[in-house]
Amino acid sequence: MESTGIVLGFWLLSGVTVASALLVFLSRNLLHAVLALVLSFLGMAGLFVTLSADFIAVAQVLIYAGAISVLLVFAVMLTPLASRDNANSLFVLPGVLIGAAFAGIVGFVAIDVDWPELTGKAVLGRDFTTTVQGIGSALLDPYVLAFEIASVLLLSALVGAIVLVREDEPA
Amino acid sequence: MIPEQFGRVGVLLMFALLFPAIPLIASYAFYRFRIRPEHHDPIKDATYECGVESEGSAWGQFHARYYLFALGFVIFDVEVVFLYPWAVVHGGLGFTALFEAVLFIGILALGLGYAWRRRALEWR
Repeated sequence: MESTGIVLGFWLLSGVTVASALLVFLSRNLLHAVLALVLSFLGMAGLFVTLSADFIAVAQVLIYAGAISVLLVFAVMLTPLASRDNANSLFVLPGVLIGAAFAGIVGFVAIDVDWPELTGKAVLGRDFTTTVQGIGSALLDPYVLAFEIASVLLLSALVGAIVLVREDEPA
Repeated sequence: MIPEQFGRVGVLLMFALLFPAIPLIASYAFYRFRIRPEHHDPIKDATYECGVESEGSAWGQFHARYYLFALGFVIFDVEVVFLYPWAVVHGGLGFTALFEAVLFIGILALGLGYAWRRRALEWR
């Protein structure tokens, strides 16, 4: 058994995540749907913390709740007002089918897998471990080339964005 | 020890969410129990108390030029994700780690310099 704090946090966070995910498609206003999606991302980040995946939680906050949501809000604010309601579309039925299939697969895996249960000392040791140190040392020692190439990738993304938007300007 | 720190963050987060709700709830409760009156007035209902008067709705279509700034933000946001594990461990790794991070930021600074050079940071 985990400590009560983590269990309580898990239920609170999953409640927030599921409720805001419901708001995403119940809301008639597209911008409200986007903001509910951001809240859902934040709840998911909290859930990652309860799974002792702290780096993924931080990446979730920075990438999804930060960057992706900024892109979503911009995409909504830059579209004409007329096309901005969260209307029903032809994709409802395929969406429901895909969602049901995905829920079925995940549920099947969750039930089918024989989850190992930790007892005694192992719980105390493995209740919560941080992953950032391991990722940091791995990035800086064996995978330093990948670390630097990631910055080249980001550089090419930045240059590409500028070239696409400002192609008419002289250098 | 780490879960307690996250727990503290969670408690602070809940307090931070509840705190701004208190005046809203109090105001509504005072209205319901007829302690405060409800008289609408165009000046009272204005969004901003002072400054330039707002014109039109905030729900209009914004200029597509903002998108470049959003993309720039996203790229440097991803950079921060890479620097975060570095910031946690660099103290024990010494000069090489510092050099690696400087190289990482330097490559991205080239991009910022390019954006500056192409005058992509200006509003035109």
